[in-house]
Amino acid sequence: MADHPVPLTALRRLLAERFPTAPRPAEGVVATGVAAVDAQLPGGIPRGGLTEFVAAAPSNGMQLVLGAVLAATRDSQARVGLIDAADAFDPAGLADAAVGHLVWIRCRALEDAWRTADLLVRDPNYGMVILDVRDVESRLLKRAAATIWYRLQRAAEESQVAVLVQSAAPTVPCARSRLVFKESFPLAALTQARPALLAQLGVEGQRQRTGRIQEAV
Amino acid sequence: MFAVVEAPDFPLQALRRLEAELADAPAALLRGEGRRAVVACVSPPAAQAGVAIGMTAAQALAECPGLIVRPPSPAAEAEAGAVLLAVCWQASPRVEATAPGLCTLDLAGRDLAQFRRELPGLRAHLQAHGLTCRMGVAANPLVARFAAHEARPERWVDAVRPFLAPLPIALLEPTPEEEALLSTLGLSTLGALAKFPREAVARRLGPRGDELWARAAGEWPRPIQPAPPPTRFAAARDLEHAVATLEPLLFVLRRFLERLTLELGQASLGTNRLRLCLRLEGGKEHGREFCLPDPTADAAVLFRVIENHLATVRTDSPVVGVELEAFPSRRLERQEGLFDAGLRDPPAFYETLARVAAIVGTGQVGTPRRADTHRPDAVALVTPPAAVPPATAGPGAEPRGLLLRRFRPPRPALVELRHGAPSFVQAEAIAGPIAGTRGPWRSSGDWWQPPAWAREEWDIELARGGLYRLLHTPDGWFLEGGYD
Repeated sequence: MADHPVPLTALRRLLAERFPTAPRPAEGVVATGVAAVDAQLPGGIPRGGLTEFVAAAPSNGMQLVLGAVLAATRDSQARVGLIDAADAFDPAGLADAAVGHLVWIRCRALEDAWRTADLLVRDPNYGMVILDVRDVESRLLKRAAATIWYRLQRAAEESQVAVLVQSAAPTVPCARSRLVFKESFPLAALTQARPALLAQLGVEGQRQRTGRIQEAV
Repeated sequence: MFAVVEAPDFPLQALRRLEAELADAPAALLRGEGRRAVVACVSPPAAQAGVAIGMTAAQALAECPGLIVRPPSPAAEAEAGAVLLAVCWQASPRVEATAPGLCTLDLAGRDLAQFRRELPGLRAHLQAHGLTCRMGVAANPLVARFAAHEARPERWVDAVRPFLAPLPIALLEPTPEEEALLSTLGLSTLGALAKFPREAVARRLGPRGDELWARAAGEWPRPIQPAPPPTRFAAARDLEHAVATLEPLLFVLRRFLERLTLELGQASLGTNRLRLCLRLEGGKEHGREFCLPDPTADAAVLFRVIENHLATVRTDSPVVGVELEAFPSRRLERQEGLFDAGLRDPPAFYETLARVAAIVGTGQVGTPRRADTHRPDAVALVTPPAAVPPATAGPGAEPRGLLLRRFRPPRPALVELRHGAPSFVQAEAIAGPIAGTRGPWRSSGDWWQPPAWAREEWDIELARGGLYRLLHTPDGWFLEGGYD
């Protein structure tokens, strides 16, 4: 053992130099402002990793959560990039002021979405990058190499950007957390206040790294 | 003290720095018309191959079959002259553009020992801009010019007369008649001429003889005339051959930007607006303006913006000319605010946007803004602001209900009606009996100007779950999207 205690920061630096490819711990989370979602995650969508939202049922409220995420990030003035692989996002349901921090990328092909995500995740100006592949044909997604997701994960670890992937079925093999939206809203939901709808979300969490599946809300 | 920076074979160097194919190839510059044209400058590879100044084009090509010959290009020389001037301004604020490829620097007030140490750096800087130069430093501009001519590649003259004495008379650029006369007098060096009585030379050659003697003695009668700093930052070039690929164009644009940013930086300015114009064969033009969030004088940043744009451009015909103008702007020098939500790296942000636009297409990326119309799905994408403004509560009631995810374009649907309301729907990937409906909501607009629109919307809930928007137009039924 050394005669003098080694500072923790020096040890961290040494480890980073010896193992430059080792994953770094997340530096925080981006809170969504939705209690049911944040409770399933470590207080929000973690920075420096991939989080996946899976739409297991139609009209499950995931887009509503996206609206809440935009509102939360708007309050903190963080820049958000939305890579819309199927060009499905409709800003008409949100006020102009609520999307003033949003960079919306309307893709024409899945390949464009991969390339765009790779660029945005590496840009230090973004607080969060959302990749929406929900309406992309599953055969196209399955054809995509898993290395794409690992590449995004490595980039996110490097830039400490929070990456949220919205999909129709579990797709991201290296997602830190996965939330499954399982319950459809009834027709009456179209007239209800949004905070009340968010309180009724049916979300089930899956923590990928530990394999612990949490209780459904 | 004065310094002279000279770019030998300047007309050819000016061309070589703007044409990638000339960089390492044997090249020669021809002066004169038609068959009388003779080689005026040769590149080092051409000289090694045996091409010499004074040869005709045919003789030069016989010596070196791969020789590339070019006529002089005043535009390229002006561009290289501007680069030379801009680099020299970094060493002295008083610089005279004495002749093409030759600048005189007034070193008054400069620490000469420091300047001596800076000379290699100055040459390296010019080399990076494509100009190989030699430099001379002496007590007056004329001697400094002679020193530059003799320099390999630098010459510092402290004792003028011993330096001038062995130099050939040809340095004074006498006419052939003058040279012949001086030769008959046995005067072949500057030292010999300076020792000859001044009046005797003036008597034989007139005022011109007096001038030659004064120059041989190292006399310099006039002050230098400093060049004014540029007020417009623009560059243009007609390409030697029409180009249909990106690389030659980018090569020229990179050189332009290097010079423009050098000049901007010299004036403590930057630019946040660039105008690019590509002149196409057939007289057409492709023009584009680029706006950046913050003024910058970083050539690499500006180059990437242009490169990303050009990667997406397809022109109908090859490019025959290029123009680039940078609009100067004062660079921002501000302290970061405690609550500042600006960009961490503004150039990187807009560079990423440009690269994304190159992938998905211009107009497919930006911050959404609703258009001033009731037409459905009327949204525009604008350039994201550099700083996210603080959130403010908007007017109007709190929005209710789920958000819509659109199918673009709407999916054609087959719909069964019962009592005037949809009861069954079949569309791509979605089909089944309808358990509940809301509607219809009818709207129309733009009837006063085409294309007018009219629609009837139904919100439906499928029996197996899922909320969708059904659309009825004169063209039929469509599924416009799903609520989520």
